Amino acid sequence: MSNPQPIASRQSVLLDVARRLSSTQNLVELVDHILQRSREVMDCEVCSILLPDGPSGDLLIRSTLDHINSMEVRVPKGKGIAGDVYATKKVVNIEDALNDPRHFRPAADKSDLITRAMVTIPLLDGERCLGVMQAINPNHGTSFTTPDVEMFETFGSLIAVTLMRLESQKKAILEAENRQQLSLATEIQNSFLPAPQALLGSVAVGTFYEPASEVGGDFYFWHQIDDGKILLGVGDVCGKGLPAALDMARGTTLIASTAHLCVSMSLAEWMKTLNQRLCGVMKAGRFIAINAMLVCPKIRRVWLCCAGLPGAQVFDGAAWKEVAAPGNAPLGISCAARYAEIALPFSTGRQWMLYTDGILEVQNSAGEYFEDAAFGAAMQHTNGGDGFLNHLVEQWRTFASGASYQDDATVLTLTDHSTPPAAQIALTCHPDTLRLVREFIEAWSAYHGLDDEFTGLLVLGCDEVMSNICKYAYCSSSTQRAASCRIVSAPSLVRILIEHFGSGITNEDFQKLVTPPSIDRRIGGLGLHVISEIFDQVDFRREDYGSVIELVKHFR
Amino acid sequence: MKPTVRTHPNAVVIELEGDADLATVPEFQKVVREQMKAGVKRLIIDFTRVTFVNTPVWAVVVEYFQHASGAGTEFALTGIQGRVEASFKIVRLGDFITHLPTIADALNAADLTSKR
Repeated sequence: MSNPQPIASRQSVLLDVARRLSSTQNLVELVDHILQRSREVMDCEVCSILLPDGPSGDLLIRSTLDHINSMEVRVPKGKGIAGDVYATKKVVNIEDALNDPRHFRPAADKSDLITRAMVTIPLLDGERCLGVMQAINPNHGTSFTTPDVEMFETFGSLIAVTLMRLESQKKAILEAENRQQLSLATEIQNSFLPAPQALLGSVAVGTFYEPASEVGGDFYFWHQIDDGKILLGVGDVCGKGLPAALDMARGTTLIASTAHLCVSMSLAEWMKTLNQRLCGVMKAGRFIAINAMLVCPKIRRVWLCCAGLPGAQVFDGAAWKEVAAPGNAPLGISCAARYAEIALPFSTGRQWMLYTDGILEVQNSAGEYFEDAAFGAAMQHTNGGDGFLNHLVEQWRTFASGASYQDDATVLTLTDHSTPPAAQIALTCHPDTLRLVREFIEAWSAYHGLDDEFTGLLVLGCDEVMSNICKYAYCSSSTQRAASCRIVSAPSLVRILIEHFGSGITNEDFQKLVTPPSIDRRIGGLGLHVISEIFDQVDFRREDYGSVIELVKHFR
Repeated sequence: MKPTVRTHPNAVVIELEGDADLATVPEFQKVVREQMKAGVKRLIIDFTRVTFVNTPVWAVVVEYFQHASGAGTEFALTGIQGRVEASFKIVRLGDFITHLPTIADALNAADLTSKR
């Protein structure tokens, strides 16, 4: 039996190993070096290191015995003295390992080594065990001494630190790779979104898009269709991360490839078609909530179809209001789903807004939801000004700062920059100028998206009033023939006020004069009959300055 | 609106165009009264190219209808559609006056009085 190395020599080896530890990047090379130097320092037959490998929790042996390394010998989780030390994190120093009940024979048999004395130490990072190290069969005695164990533990500490450093480096590399992949995924996902701002004729589109992580399930879309219509909306795919991002890509691609169908299809029919196609490509249990809007600036109409997201908002000139659109099921759930839409005049509001539930559902540190009060306050504060989206986003960000959870959030705004026609016309009342009133009503009705039949009746009714003023209120010799026509819209009706300074009739006169059509006598009072047939309310008033005829017609 | 008068072997057709309103009534009335004096056997007033009609214009139509009824003249309106039709329905003249889709229908009809 030889004597163990003197302490000074052991410390010198330790120092050399420590230097090597801080300079190497290769784990296998480092472990082999440590094991060789450990064997020298411990003056033993074999040194091994056992590190956990993969999710099984097995310990993979690396040894100073080359043939063990080439066989990739494993100790199953919890087995052997190594497994015991790994689990208990306590040093085990025994003289006769072969007869120890914990001894794991299959691993020992592969080594052709007759194991006698063995010291096994845990490699610790605080409470976490990184692996174990073993020294087997000392050359200098029948067992390892306490100073041997202490020296081995010192070695173990160095190795633990190195393992941690290497683990940390590996983790940093993995994180960097993940970040790069996510950045690429973000770039790819953004390529499915159209430009965040656009001016499509007199219609300006603005957006706010903030995924909760690098990739999200929210999206927005806008497409200008060949006939001048604009299809736009927001969507929210169920779930998060890459699966949601893939469905988002599917959704936006299908929307882009079917948008042209809105030339001949209603918005509700288009949603039905889109749903059927999504049902064909989406996996069971996945769905997309979409609020879509179809705008036709030419005929000044808007259609809305809401499927699973909060209702659209419109600023009607006084306040933001939720559009009473019918609710529909999200897309991708059932091929048989039907979709309902609402049609409105585009002039219902100058500004429109669609948004996903991530806007409303964010919670502040006090546990309040944005939708509780802050959303309404932020919307009304802007009073329909052009900067309303910026203000809303600013308020939302402030509210959401410090929130523990945040969903994807998307807003799409639409602003109508067209110039509205005059709401009033003043004229000199004469048969040749009556066409001006008709043209005035035509222009106003077209801007307000009223259909041709409704407009035709308004034009006829007003022309009958103006014709009567021309013929009867102003006698043929009148030189003062001023008149005006003012038109006001409300959500459910149109109100027209016609003023003149001639001799007007009263409501009683109207009741006496209006006669149903008859062919048996000279036609008279037929104009008043037409007026009474067209309008739901007719009021003839005499004011100090002249006469007013108020005409009201409800939308059917 | 300038009424155009076309004479056919068995009828006279007054074709109107554009907006028929208070401003155009005098000219229309003049043309219609000329046909009253002429004592035509069949008069057709065509509205195919008319975009607007108000009651002063219908009053002229009724005036001729009343004349035709007394004089034994056949009388029909043609081409009433769109906004003109809406106006025509409100004044309910369709209950009394013969109205047919086209001038050809009115020219080829054996007896206009039975077509109301």
